[in-house]
Amino acid sequence: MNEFETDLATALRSVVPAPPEDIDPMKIVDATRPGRLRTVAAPLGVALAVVCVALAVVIVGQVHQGGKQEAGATGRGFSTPAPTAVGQDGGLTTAQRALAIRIAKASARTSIPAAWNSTSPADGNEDSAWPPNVQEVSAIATTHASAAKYVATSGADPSQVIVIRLVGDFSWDTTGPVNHGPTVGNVATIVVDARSGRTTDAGLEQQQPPKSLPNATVLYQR
Amino acid sequence: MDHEEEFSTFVRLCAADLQRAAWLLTGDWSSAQDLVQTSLAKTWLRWSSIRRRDAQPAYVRRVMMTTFLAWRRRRWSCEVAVDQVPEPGAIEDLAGEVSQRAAVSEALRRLPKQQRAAVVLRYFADLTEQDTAYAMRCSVGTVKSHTARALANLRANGALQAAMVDGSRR
Repeated sequence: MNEFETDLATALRSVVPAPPEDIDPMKIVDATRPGRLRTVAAPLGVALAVVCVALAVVIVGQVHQGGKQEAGATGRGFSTPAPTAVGQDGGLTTAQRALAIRIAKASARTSIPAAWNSTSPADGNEDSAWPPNVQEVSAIATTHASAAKYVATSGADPSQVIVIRLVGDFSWDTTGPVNHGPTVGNVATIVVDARSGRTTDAGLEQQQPPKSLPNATVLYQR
Repeated sequence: MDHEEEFSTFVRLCAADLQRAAWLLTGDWSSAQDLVQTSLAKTWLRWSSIRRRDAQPAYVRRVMMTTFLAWRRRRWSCEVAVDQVPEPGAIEDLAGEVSQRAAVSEALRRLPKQQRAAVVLRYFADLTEQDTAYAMRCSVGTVKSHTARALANLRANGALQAAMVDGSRR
């Protein structure tokens, strides 16, 4: 070590003042003690567990409620996907969807009120092929017995049916007294046998406001 | 002697020297105590694995240097070299001691962090190059390099040279 280094070492040791306060080792030990961590972690863990249980209860409740709604509507239990969102085929197979669209279009075309006859017909596109008096079409797969919730049905059997609901402006030529005009309404409900495609029941009513089928697959929406 | 008692004894023996070294590194007591307490807390967490008693000071110095260099890396943008280092307690102090302390502190603050650490370990803590290299987690050659550059920088510092001369006269 040369002279400069010696002087530097001396200067470094002489200029440092005494520390203003001692460090308490027990404070360091206590701050890192596992027991202290436990006192912090335990309430956090309990709070986290409570939140998790609450979330689980909410989720299970929602699933259970959804399952019950679906079971009531379809009679197929919780395993069937809930038919809800627009554009999804929940509750309807591809074939059932095609059948429902075909029957709904046919029904809509034959129920156009006289006031709508001057409007332009369909141009071949699937969406625009819907008659102009149709605002919305929804469908749900269920049992014939459960379909009574939506329209007066002719049976209470457990056979699979498709309930189709059209919302718009409809006019049906029905039998009735002399000079009885066509039946009109804004909600048409058709029940179709899922196997044969045969219409089993139908109803036309005036609803304010008109309502689509709850939790149903929306087949068309203007 | 259990671990807590052994650690308490170690802290009581070493804390003052560690704080002084930390003061040279950081330039103020608040940061110095923060640095030492952080280093001791990290050391305590590994205390049971430090088997040799003579390895304990080296271990805590190593932790302190690692912590200091990491701190300085994070705070580097905040560090601004100034012409005069503030010295709040200087009013009542003797003028010569104050000026020497300010000169040394300022000279150290002007050094890059690695050079400052090397100087403090080599000339304040009086460590060998090997022990300094262990504390700084680098090679002996790197310590020599940092030390040589630091000494060159300090020699070029006129205020420090004057303060050292004045100090040696007192």
